[in-house]
Amino acid sequence: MTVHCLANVLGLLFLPLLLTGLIQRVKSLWSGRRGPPLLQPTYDVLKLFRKSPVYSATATPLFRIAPWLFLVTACASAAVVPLLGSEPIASFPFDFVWFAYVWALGRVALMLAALDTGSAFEGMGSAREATFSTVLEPVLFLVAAALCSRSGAHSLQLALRFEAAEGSFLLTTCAVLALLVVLQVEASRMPVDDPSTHLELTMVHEVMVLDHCGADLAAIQIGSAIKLFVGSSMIAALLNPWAASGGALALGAQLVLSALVAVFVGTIESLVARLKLRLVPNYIALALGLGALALLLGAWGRVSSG
Amino acid sequence: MPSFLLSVPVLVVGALLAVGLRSNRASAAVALASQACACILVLLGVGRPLFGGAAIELLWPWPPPITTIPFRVDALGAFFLAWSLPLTLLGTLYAIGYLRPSFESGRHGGPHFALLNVVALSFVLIYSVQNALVFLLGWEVAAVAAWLLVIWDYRSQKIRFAGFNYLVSTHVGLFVLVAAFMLLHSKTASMDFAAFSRFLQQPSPARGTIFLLLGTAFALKSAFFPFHTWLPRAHAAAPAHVSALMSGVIHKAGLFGFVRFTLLMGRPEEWMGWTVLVFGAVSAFFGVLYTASQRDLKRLLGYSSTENVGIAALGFGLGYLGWSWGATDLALIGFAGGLLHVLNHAIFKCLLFYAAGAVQRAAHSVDLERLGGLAKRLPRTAALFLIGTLAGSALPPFNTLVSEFIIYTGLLSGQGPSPEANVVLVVAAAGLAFVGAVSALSATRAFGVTFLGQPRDARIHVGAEPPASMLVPMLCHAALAIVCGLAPQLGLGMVRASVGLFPFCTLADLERVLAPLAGLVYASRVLALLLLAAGLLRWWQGAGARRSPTWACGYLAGSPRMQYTGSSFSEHFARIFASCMPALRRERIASEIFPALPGQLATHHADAVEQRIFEVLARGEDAITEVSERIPGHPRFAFAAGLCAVLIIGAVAWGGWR
Amino acid sequence: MSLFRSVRVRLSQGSQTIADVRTAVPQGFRGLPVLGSAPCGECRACIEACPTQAIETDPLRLDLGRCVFCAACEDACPEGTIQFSAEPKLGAARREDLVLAAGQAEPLRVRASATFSRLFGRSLKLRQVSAGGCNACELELNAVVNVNFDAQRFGIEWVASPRHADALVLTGPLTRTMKEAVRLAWDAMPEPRFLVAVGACAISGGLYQAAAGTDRSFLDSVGPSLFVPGCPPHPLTFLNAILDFLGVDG
Repeated sequence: MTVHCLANVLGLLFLPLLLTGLIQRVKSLWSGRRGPPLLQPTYDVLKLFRKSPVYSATATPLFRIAPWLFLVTACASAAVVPLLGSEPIASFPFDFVWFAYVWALGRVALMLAALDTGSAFEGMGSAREATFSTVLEPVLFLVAAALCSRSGAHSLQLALRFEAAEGSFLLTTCAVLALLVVLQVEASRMPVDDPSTHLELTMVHEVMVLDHCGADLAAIQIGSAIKLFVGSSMIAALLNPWAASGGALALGAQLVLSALVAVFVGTIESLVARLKLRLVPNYIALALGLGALALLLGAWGRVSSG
Repeated sequence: MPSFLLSVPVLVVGALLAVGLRSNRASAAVALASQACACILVLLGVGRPLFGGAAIELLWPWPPPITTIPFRVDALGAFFLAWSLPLTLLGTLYAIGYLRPSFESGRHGGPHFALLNVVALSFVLIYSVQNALVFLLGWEVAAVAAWLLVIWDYRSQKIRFAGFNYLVSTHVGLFVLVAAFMLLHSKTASMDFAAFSRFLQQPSPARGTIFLLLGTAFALKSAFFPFHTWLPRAHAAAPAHVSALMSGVIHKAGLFGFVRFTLLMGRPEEWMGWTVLVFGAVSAFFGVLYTASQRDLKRLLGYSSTENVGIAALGFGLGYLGWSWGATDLALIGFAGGLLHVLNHAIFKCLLFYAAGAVQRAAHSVDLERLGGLAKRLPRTAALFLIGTLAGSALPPFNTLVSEFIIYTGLLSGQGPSPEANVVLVVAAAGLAFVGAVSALSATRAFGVTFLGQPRDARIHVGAEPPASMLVPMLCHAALAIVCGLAPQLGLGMVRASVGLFPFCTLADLERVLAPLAGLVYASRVLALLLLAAGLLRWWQGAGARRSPTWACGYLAGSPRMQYTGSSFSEHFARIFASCMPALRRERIASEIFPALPGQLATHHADAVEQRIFEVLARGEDAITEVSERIPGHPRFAFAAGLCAVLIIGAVAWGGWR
Repeated sequence: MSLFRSVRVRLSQGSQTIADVRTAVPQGFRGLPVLGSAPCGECRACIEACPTQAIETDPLRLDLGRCVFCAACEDACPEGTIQFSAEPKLGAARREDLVLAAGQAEPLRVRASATFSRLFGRSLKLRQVSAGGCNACELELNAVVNVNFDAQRFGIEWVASPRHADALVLTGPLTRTMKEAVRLAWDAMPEPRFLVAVGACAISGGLYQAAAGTDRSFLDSVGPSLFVPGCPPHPLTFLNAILDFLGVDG
């Protein structure tokens, strides 16, 4: 038990920024440049910790507290997800409910920090982020309910298990695709949000952090990387055939699958343009449809098999 | 005489003294003292049934035709009494500080404090009495007292209209309730709840009708959609503590009535459960949609009440369904979650209204479009409002997440009798998740636009922080929100015995279905510790850092009016749901290249149901005018027509009598 | 499918990144001027030809910070004393290092900063402010992060917000109207930070030295830590200067 705990904590310390670096490398490859090294996000974060902060005159203490609340909630959400393919740090029935609301708390903290600057820019980012998350929230619940009805148990660890049973393939596909959309929205990836743009037309997450600097910015970057890692771990756990047995094979498969998810995300980012803002809720509604389909498959699948 | 009934004369005496005394300070002191006494008496009295002991029964003799008034305080009544009176006491304490400016300008506060006593009195009646007539009396007393409290600022025409709107709506509810009781009386020839219960436990065609009538009456009282139209107006018009008490305490009587008649009715039919579930989901959905678009902070909180009673009804609907299917686990979860949510909502809603009242007192406005940057001038109010909004969005580690989590465990458990039922329950859970996300949007908007950033309207002059009499109730509520989140056994301990009243409930079963809470509580405690540590560390650390203006791309002509306003924050969201939430848009945008006059844009989100009601009423009025114009305006003709009508009616009545 | 088309396009592009920016010499580039040691006597042809008064005699000196690389001096000199080579490395950490003396044949060396190389050696975020220039410098700076020069492989990137930046890269002669904006951008940056002056206009005022609309008082209060001459400077000039300043091996 404690070995798993320690392994998960170590994974949480080192892997998120590596995954972000991997996405950057994939994007560099697609655009034909050498690109930054794999450890560049780590170097950036380490440098940010050495900068002394400067705060806006309009901001309250909430501004410098919020990025750390965001980081704590990101870590807390990672505690219930099987990050390395076997067991999460903690698991209890219906922990995916707590997971979703902890992510919501982190999001609210960031949005409030953005509104604290009193700038029109940051307010715009908060509004967009809030709007997209309202349409997104049911998707996670539909997918989790579908997986729970398939596996019969109610915790994330047991729900995110690979099932080789017949007829499970379609449900897994729907769940994976829906979770991919969740990843794209929550971790601010294309086609929902462009993490490398700074044009007013296209920013959602980036614009909220325009006024943060130094260690606060590092906390936000680490938190976002953790959310990305958690999202890809969930997808990888669903596709990992050795997750139930555990051991080195499960760990290896999980890492490879997480890396593949990162490569996929990087490829989408390089080849697909950002959706028009008006169309993003429609795109998320597509994920809602996939979640509903997964739910129906889960509900009737159990009847036919059980 | 049981001690809880002793509170009645205490409150009456307190009310009379408060009216009679000349000095406002003395009236307030008398009201506070009498309410405190009543609280203690009630709490001492209902302690036994609250924690699973025997119910208190009493038959009070009364002259005919009532002959006896049966009182019965069982666990459910004890639960509602246990928190209604203390919260009313806190509200009265808040009123002292809140109304001080009015008192200083010469208004006499005695009647107001007396009415607060009367409201507390009505609770004792409604929650303990078992006779329909006395129940109606308590209902009416509560309604009229609330109306008189709402129109404290009666000099304003808008406020008088809002009060009148409230009075009319509450009496429509009363008529429906009277109709239900008359139907029951015609079937049982009695006015006692015990007789009603014996009748309702038998299957009969009237059962469904009575359920619908009672449901409508209680839905009107508790402001379910689409019977909620009076709520936003009343909340915007009333003083802050009255809004708090109305939303948090007085209107919960509707939910009490609902659960009470569920217990009397016995095992419901499945369609009743689906009705309650759908009504709850629809109320939650529409309530939260409207919170996201309001510019008046108190109207926003009013719609949030609609949302939360919808969530509680979601729990009750789940309970109904579980009971009708024989899935007792689901029923236990549903009723436990719903009742706990009622308590949690009272806790955070009162806090939010008190904080909004502090804002109104300091800035003389609760208009989101004009406020901003209040956190610098009112840091304590800001912190308390933040706790309130975070609790309201069911975010960890506050109390509302516990009750919503319980409801989620029921909806997502997959214990329904058929896959179709399970799918519908999961869709309801997804709807609840949507409601949670929208309330997070609304919370961010309400807190962020009011307290953060810079003031949007330079003409608003912000006064001082609220005085101690206003801060103490807010602190109590905030502490309760945090404590009930980290140690939900406190709230559950009060709810347990009420759920135990259901015939299928055993305490062992209840503990079993609430077992998943342990994981949530542990996780929330760890999270709270980490958040507190991170927050405090960071607060102390960065206090002396260098300051520079917010980076605005070097633009030199910036102004606070360029910030995002409340309506711009929710604009995209409102456009997505424009079919449910129609927006009126008035714009004057110049077409010339160099316009002579500046352009104008105003958006207004009116309540869709209220709009429709006014449209229908207006069309009805037009129709009546049209018809009456057709009738010749000759007096003799009118006299003859009236005589004919009386003769016809008399003949029909005489014929029917025969 | 468009994915296959994208792969085909990508493969056809090959790799267009300059492998070693430290030794690359751009073709046809007018770079470091070399001053011969021959005595000039009374001839002042180059001084009169230079539009920015960059040249002085007795002894012959050429101020790279003022030079706009027009080669009018090279054309005017009857002896061919001034010859422009193709060397792109022109940066300096001190203003006086930019003044070239006769007979100086080696390229300029930027003195690496110990503090900044420790802090920003692997990650440097730059914020560009254009203080009233002609935009030629900005175009070249924009090219620093393109596929050819790819500054991101060294961890060097342009960022939008000064709060995220480590260095302010200033171009243009610093007009009066941009004075407040430049001050705001500098104040918004968290410490440690440094200023880079890029282009003749930023370093010395260039062609606008005597113009009425300029206000260079900002540079008196905040001294640049790095000077990158040119009009406009080549991306290789800028990149090499930054890499030398941070002590990064090519």
